[in-house]
Amino acid sequence: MKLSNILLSFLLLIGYADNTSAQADDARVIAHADVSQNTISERQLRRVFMLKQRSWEGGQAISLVVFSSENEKHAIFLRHQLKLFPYQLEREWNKLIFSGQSAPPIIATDTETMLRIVSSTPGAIGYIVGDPDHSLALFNDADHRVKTLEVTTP
Amino acid sequence: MMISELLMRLRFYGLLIIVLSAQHSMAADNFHFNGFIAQGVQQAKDTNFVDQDGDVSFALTEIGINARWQFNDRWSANGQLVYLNAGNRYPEGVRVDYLFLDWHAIRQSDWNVNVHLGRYKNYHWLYSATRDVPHTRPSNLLPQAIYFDSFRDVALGSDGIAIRANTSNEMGDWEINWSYGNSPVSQKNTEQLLGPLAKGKLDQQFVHQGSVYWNSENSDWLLGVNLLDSDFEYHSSIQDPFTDGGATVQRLSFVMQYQSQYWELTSEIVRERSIYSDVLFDGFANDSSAEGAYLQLTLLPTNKLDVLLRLDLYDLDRKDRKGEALSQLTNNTIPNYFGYMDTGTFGVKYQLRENFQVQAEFNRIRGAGRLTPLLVRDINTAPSEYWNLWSVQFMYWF
Repeated sequence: MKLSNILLSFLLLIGYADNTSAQADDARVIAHADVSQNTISERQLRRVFMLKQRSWEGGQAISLVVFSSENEKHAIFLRHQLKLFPYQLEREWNKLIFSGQSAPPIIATDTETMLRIVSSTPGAIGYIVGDPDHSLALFNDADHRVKTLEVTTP
Repeated sequence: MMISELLMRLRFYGLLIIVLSAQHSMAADNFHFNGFIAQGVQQAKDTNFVDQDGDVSFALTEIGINARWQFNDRWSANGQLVYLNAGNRYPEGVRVDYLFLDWHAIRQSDWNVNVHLGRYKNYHWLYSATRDVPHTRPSNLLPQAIYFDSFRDVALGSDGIAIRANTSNEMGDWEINWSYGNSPVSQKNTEQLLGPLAKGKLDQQFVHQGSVYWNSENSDWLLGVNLLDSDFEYHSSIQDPFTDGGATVQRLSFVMQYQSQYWELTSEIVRERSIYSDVLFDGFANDSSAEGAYLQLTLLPTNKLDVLLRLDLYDLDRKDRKGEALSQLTNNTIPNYFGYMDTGTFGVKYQLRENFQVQAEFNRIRGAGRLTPLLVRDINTAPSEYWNLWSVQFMYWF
């Protein structure tokens, strides 16, 4: 391969990286029904996911629930809602967890587990991706409830 | 000596209590533990960097377990115990990596301030807080201009107080760190730094650090600055070729990182001033500034594969970049290449499972400026100017 071709490939890679946008799948930020807030700003949401904000405005401790980093829904939510790539968050978490500054987030294996953990963990926040209204309608009943948080711009 | 040993034991037992209490409270939300285990193989031919004979060595073992016990909304206890063996790169053995009380002093939606009391980690450099956690490092051998292996234990963390604050505003995310403390220097580490004949005790009087990091709102840009000031004292012993003396180290470093979906560019630049008085002999004085920098490109073609390319440059004395004055000072018994150390690195990291990965790398190195001992150079540590270091390491974490 000629040097010019290698350079062109590299530039395309860079260009592709900068222009790539996440799939615009529907996503909802969900929280335990007792969480005092009904809205959350984009900035606050990023701080929560980066484990920098650990408590809700009322003082209640936050429990972060996420899909595993191998789950495509995780990548979609991060890119679409937080403008982050999974590796960026993973590194930030590892840095905090392995230097004694934070507990790790709770991992959910699928949407149903995500809803179940968030509904049963006071102060929990999580997300659902892909037909969220349908998933919420199926899940919310007299015994299980989660609320959706409206994400606002700062 | 006895007090430091006692403190060491207390820290160890404290951590042990935290870990053992996991047996009873693992199910509780306020207790968490994590760990890692890594084993590899490495070789640095023609130097004593890894092994005295330059042979293939399996001394690339890192094991650690950490625990976090959240007492209430404001207070938690945190500790990590590690066993490390990387051959001659740093002393082998078990260490209390960190053990501190964390007071969450301010917790607002846009401000957080934490105070750490005890053995805290060095949060000031880009990779310093978890340089001993294999899967968090970009490479097995970190750029020696910044992350000098032989000084690893002293630079990793300290006993004292650290304050960490973070906030966010329309300009981005901010992180402000301040710390004051000191690190115990083991006899092994003293011998490694000064030479095997050193019989005395090297004490770090204090290390005072501050750093500020800015992360752009989209988290693509990271910029940081760090200041360090530290004093050391050497207390000579009987039949010790060294004398009582001291050293001051002052350091200024900058961090720059750009992250994209498929690639990442990272650089750190440092200037480190070292002022020695006595130690080598009565009346010895030296005041010089080292400079170093690295530029690192990481390609991320898939979420499982990282490819790393890095150039790391280091000059022991910015006024003697070719090491000629150093060589003349020793009547040419020490070659000039002991005055610098430049490293080119190619590395590959592949994630085999979610918590299991392999990392392989090759380093081509020119010079011996970051080889020990520091004060009394030994040509046997690097008989030739160019040498290689390669390694393969498997790592698992939970």
